Amino acid sequence: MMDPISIAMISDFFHPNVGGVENHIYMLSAKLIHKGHKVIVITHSHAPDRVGVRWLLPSLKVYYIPFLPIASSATLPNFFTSLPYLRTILLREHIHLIHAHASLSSIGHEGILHSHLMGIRTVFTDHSLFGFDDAASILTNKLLAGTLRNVDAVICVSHTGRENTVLRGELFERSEDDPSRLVVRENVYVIPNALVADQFKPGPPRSTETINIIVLSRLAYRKGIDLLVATAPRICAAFPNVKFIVGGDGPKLIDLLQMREKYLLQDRIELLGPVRHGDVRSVLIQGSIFMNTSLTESFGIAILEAACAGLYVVSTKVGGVPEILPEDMISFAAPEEDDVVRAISEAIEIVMAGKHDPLRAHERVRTFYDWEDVATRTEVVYDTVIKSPQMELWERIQRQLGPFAGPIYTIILIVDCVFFLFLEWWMPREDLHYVTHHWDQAKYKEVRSLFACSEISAHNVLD
Amino acid sequence: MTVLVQTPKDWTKILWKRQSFQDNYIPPASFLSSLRRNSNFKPQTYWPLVLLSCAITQHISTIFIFLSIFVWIQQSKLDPRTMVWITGGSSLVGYAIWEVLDSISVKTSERYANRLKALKSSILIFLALMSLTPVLRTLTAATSSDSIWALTSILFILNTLLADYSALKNAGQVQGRLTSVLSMNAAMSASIVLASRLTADIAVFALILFSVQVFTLYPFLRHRLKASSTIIQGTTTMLLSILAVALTASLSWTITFLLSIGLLLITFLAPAFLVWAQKYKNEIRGPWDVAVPKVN
Amino acid sequence: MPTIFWPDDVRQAGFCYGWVNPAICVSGTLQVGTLEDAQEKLRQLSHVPQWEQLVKLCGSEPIILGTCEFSQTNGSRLPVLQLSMSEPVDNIFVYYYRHSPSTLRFYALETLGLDTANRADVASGSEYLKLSQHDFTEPRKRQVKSGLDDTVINQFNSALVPDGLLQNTRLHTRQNPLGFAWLTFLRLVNRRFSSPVSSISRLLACLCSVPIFPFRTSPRLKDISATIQQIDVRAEQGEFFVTEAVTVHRRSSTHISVHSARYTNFFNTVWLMLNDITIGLAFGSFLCENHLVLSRFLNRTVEDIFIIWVQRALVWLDSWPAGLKLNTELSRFYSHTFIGLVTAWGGLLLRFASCSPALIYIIGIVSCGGVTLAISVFIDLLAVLTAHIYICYAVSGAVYQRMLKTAGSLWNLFRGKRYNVLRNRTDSWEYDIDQLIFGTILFTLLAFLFPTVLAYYALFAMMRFGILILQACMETLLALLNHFPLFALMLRIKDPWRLPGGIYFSAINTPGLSHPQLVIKNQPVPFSTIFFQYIQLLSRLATHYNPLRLLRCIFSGQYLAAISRYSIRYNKIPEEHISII
Repeated sequence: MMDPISIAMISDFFHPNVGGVENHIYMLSAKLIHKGHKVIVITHSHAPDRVGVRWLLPSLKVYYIPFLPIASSATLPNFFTSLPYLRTILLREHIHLIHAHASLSSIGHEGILHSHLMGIRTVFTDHSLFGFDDAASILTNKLLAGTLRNVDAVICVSHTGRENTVLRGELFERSEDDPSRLVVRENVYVIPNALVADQFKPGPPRSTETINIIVLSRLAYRKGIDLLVATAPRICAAFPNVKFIVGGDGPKLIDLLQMREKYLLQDRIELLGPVRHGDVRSVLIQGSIFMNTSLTESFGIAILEAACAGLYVVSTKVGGVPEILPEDMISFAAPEEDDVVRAISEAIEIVMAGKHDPLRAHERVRTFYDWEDVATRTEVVYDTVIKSPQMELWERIQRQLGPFAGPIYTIILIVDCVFFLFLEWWMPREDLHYVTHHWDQAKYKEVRSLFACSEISAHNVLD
Repeated sequence: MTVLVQTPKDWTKILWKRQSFQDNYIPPASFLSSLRRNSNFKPQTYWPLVLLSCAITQHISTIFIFLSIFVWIQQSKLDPRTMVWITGGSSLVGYAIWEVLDSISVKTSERYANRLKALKSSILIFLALMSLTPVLRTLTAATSSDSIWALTSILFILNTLLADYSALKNAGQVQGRLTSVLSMNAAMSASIVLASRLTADIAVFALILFSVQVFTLYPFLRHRLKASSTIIQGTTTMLLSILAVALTASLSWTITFLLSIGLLLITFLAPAFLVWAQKYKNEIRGPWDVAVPKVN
Repeated sequence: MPTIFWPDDVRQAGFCYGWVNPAICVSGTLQVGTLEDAQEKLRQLSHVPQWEQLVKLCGSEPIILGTCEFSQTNGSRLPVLQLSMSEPVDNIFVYYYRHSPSTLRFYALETLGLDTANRADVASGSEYLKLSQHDFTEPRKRQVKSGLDDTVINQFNSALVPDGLLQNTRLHTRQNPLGFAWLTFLRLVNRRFSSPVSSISRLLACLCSVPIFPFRTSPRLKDISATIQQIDVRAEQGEFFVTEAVTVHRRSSTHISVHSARYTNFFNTVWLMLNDITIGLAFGSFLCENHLVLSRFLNRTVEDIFIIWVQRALVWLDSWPAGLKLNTELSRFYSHTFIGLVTAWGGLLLRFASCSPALIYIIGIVSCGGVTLAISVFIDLLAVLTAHIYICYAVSGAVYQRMLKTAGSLWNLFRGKRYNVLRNRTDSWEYDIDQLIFGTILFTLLAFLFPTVLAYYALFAMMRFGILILQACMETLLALLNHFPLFALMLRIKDPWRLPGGIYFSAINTPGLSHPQLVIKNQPVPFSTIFFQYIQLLSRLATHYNPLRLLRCIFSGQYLAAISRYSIRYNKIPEEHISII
């Protein structure tokens, strides 16, 4: 057990938006608070009036900084505009360590850039996979490389994710014994996501007369909806007792509708439209097989949720998907139409023969992933980071990025220092309004025991 | 921090089991083992590349054939009626080739349907063009000749850049990508703009009919021919380029010279340059890439 | 220390009477000898017919509260009260003013509702209506046990009634002389002319609502012409006058706030009409005197601007305007057609130019019925004179819009998509080769003809825009004249006590007392309530004539319409069936 420290989670992706990264940050923060640390979250504001300071259960303080996002929670990359806010917040809350999430989140990158000026350590978690060849990826990778040069630890959610991050961020060193070889740095960790298994309990056992295949995803090209559109008619023709239930919305909805009309499958394919996160379980327990045709997936939390609810999973073998479940709970397919049809036929046969036990699957998934475990492993990372020495400014400048980006980045670092010194003069530390009161851990335990008898769903969080 | 010493083969690439290694353990053998450098890279050799670049040569030759025909019609060296007959004749020849290719790959029942559709299309286009000719003749009559030449050259360059030079795998698929449709549009606009320089209705009709055949119908034939044998490809290319050079020769020697040099460069020099530049290729692929779905 | 509400003008000692529920409110004092005499007097009053209404308004009967004396120490005005039911104890006095009901001054806790369409006594029809108008977001007021609420306000307002009853004078006829004279005059007029006036008004209203085409949904006469609309307004005002005059007169049974609102509205309408007619007379005489000069001016302007300028603009467009080379054939066709149209219309107008003096004279006479009538005749005249521009705009706008739609579907064609009308979405679709080729040819045709069509459409759209702005100005002026709350404004300035909008406590420092004394005063109605009709009308006008919206209409080729006449008119008489849409 390490001493309690103050941690700031910095990311653009946080509630009131709902998503994988948001949920991850919230659950991790809750578990860390439970372990005795103090956690705050810094994120951008949302229209119309979600700006300022809010509190979430359990004693999680959220700072909504008044910045505007451009597209679906991603802000434009900027380097200095949030320095005044971040400096004030990090100093007044006496933060020891910041933890930034998601490569597309510019406030996270900024947090990492500015924290070293105040002696605060940095940890970065990468949640997604990126390619190398299209223009957006090249730019994002360069920005990421600049940030990751100087971060104290990097956490990835899967082994494939770690390989990808290492390549993108150029997290290599020249090894001491053999200068021609490249060795990966020691501070790259793999800590997977987790899920709250109680929220995804399986439903009552279903008869095998009709087999429902559930598809729950955003209907976009990246999620492989083309494969679904190509394979669904073939499966419906081959297995007369199979029905599809498709939830979600997106630009490819029209292709699904057209396919449904062309093959007259209106009674075999049901389209639910957008499904809220609270209703996901009730949709999942309607089916016996979960189908995921994504073309790229870093962790695949939807697959886990389906497996936890007792469904048998069929998925394309991309990204980090092969690492998350054992072979007997999931069938893999190459991202090709024929192979997907083969995999689904296999799955239907397994389910019809009764070889898949939903309750046992649920129990197994319950033992695989746990937020408590994730928090413990993250704590180990924090401990290592706090105990290691901090990099000097000169050393940071020395870590070159290449002939073009290197000088630019050096200039950014120097201007950052100058701006910071200016802020130190203009808004001195003595005048800052330091936070002296926070939710007391002892009082927290007392309140918990008071409410221990009532069954509130916060128990899922607190326990 | 104590490091647990384990033999490397105990480490598996899974997340659901808590392994006895630390979280920052890098397995020496399997890390980045699925990284593939230049996996799709088949080193291209010279002659197949030359054959592939024949498509570009054919395209440029057709453009110059069209331009020279236009100059002839404008200078009244060529009778428009003869032009119409020539266009009709070559369309029939092209259609015969298409039918031959169809008989190899397509089923008989579909061929009847295709034949009827082709007949309907040709009659429709013929009559539509005939009725629209007076309008098309005066469309840009007011613009001065300099702007017309400039506009035409820009549109033809656009056509060349956006054209679809790939080979078609299966028969009957007409709809191309948006860029190929746009290139077709550019060529048609260029020919209509040129046609406004002509004075007689029949001349305009002949020119536009010819341009429809050359810029819209011929690329489909070219796609199908590309999938067939190399000899036919080579012969067609040679015929077309010789025809282009011969026709331009009657107009101006400079242009003929430039045209032949250009065609030779594209056909022979450019592939050599590509072969030389291949050694700089550095492509990384791995399991993190967005997969390309293969649907039938 | 209990609070007692004391009337400001009571200075005689005696037995004070008033109410104790919900707060101790003294209404006045009786100068009698003993308690039994005072109680006897009050009991006598219970036989008077107004007593019932008083008791109902104020919650309970007034009772004798106790004795009061005025201590003359230090010249203060503090009464010393000896309440019969409680111990003598120090009280806090809050003063209020007692107003005679004839002056129409009163207190109110909420703003006076001058909006007659939503009047509480009229909207008593459907239960659902009452429910739908209830404000659920307001927190429920806690039941006040002893404090200032509506009942106490009613007690303030009726404080002089028992006094008056005791002195046996008929209060409700003692009004200010001018108002009294007016009302008697109106009563006379009403008795003689009420039925013919109301039947004429109803006849006019029916005439104005005649539909043009024999369908039920066709536009009515009053939607087309502004003059007929104005006549309809006048008819409605006449009917309003007739019905309200009777009820304003009879004011015994209604609550004072409702009565005051109706009184204000009624006299507002009367004033407005008189003002209108006065200005109209002046304007009309001006027109009649100068009708020759004005008619010459009108003829010249019409010919110059509407005929000759349009022709010149069309000729300019045909001959390479600003160096733009438009398609000659199409441009020639357009300009010849439109010039022909404009010349024909010009010829028609010229034939009627000779009777334009007479026309102006007639307008002058008509404006004696009100300047609003004159303005509406001008609006109609403008519409008639620019009918040719309207036709040209419609034609060129239709062609432009059709071109835009074709361009949209051609774009879909090139992308390989098709608009599915059955499902109202854009599907992907494989087109035949001849469709593609035809689409290509059509696209080139469209691309090269578009500048010409755009040029002509832009010209007429600009002209239509200008005429619309002119029409909008005149309609705004008309709306202002029809609904100006002159009476309420004057009242607000002259006597704000008659338009109460809440109460406030003001502290008055009296010499000789340690603490200032509180007096309840009236807060006058805010200006936004007086101008409530305006605010509604102006917001409607602003939404309709929003420049961004108009620009978008022009670019997409939609028809630029003037605002529908009904939405800028405010109904004076609340309709029986208030629709709940």
